[in-house]
Formats: sequence, structure tokens, C-alpha cells
Amino acid sequence: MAEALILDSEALNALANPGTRSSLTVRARAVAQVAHERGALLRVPAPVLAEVCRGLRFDAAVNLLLNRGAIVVTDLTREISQRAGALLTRTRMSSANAIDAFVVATALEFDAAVIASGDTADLARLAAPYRQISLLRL
Amino acid sequence: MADAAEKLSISMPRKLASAARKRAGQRGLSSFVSRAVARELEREALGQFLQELEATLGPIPESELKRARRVWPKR
Repeated sequence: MAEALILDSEALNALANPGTRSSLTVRARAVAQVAHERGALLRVPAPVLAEVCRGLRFDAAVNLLLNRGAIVVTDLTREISQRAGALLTRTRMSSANAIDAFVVATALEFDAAVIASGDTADLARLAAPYRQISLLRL
Repeated sequence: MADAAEKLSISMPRKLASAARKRAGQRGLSSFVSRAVARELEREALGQFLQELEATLGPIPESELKRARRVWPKR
């Protein structure tokens, strides 16, 4: 059974900048540790990078983390994009929530997934019908 | 764009090879083995990363690990 831990922007930042985000980092480390114990894959949906890559100072830490090979960026495919659109339509949410929808649509690529996020309210609406998705608020 | 493929000749225990062929089918074996190797490399890299964080920042409190375990599906 393929399981994944899906990281949103807060979770990715917490792991990329562990010295400066202590409480978030502890929680992100904890969920990553459990993912590792279970053999789950760590994934960052590509659109999340648009939220965290905001100039050289921010990009360097994120690139350093991603280049380690422990966390893989999931490409934004046509299938994921269209699934995200369907999620937004079903929940009557606007395109302002597009990145959350991409995150949930990426989680649906797996048999089971945990989404680690700094703010789970909108994700909870989008993921509500899917028992295979769990949310962890950092 | 996908990486160009490189043909490898590897050896593995007969029973393991048989189970892999049965699971993947003869034509899907390369893809099956590639995915397995990619997963193992990811897993090793994650383990190394988490160990480095622990060495720098100290252990993760048990309360946080318990909280994180609760969100994963039961096996």
C-alpha cells in the first residue's frame, strides 16, 4: 500500500529552516519520523513551491532540502489539475484556494496520505469525503 | 523530461527475482525495480536527514511522536 506524507508550504519551510521555526519544526520532524518508520513517501506538490520560493534567501534553504533526495516534488499533471478543479467546484471554493486543492488532489494519488499543514481549515473542506486522507496541523 | 535509461545486469536471489517477475510481469520488471530502488534511496536520504536534525536539535518529544502517529491509518 503506497502511503505518502504531503507537505504544504508551512511544513516544507519548517523542515527547510529548522533553526528558525522551532515549534513547527518539532511537529514537522515528528510526522516525517513517523512517515519514515512506516515507509511512506514524502511529497511536495509542485504548486507549493510557488508559495515558498520567494527569492534567493528563501530558495536556498528549500533547494538544499529538496536536493537531498528525501523529499520529492510531485509534478502538476493534467490529471491532478483537473481533479483539483473538481474539488473546488464541489466545495464551491474559489481559485484563491487552488493551491490547497492541488495539495488534496496530489494526496489522492496515493492509497493513504497525511497532509501536514500550518492551516488545515480549507484543506479539511476539500478532503472531507476522502477517508484515505488525514490532516495534521503543525 | 525522463532520464535516459541505462541497461544494467544485476543479480538477485532466485526466489526474489521470481516474486518480482510475478508481481510486475516480464515487461514491467524494469519499471518495478526502478521504483523500488528510487524508494529505497529516498528512504535512506530521509533517515539521514532526520538523524542530522536529531544530532543538531535533540530528540523529538514523545508527545509529538504520539500525536503524529495518531493521524496515520491503523495497520
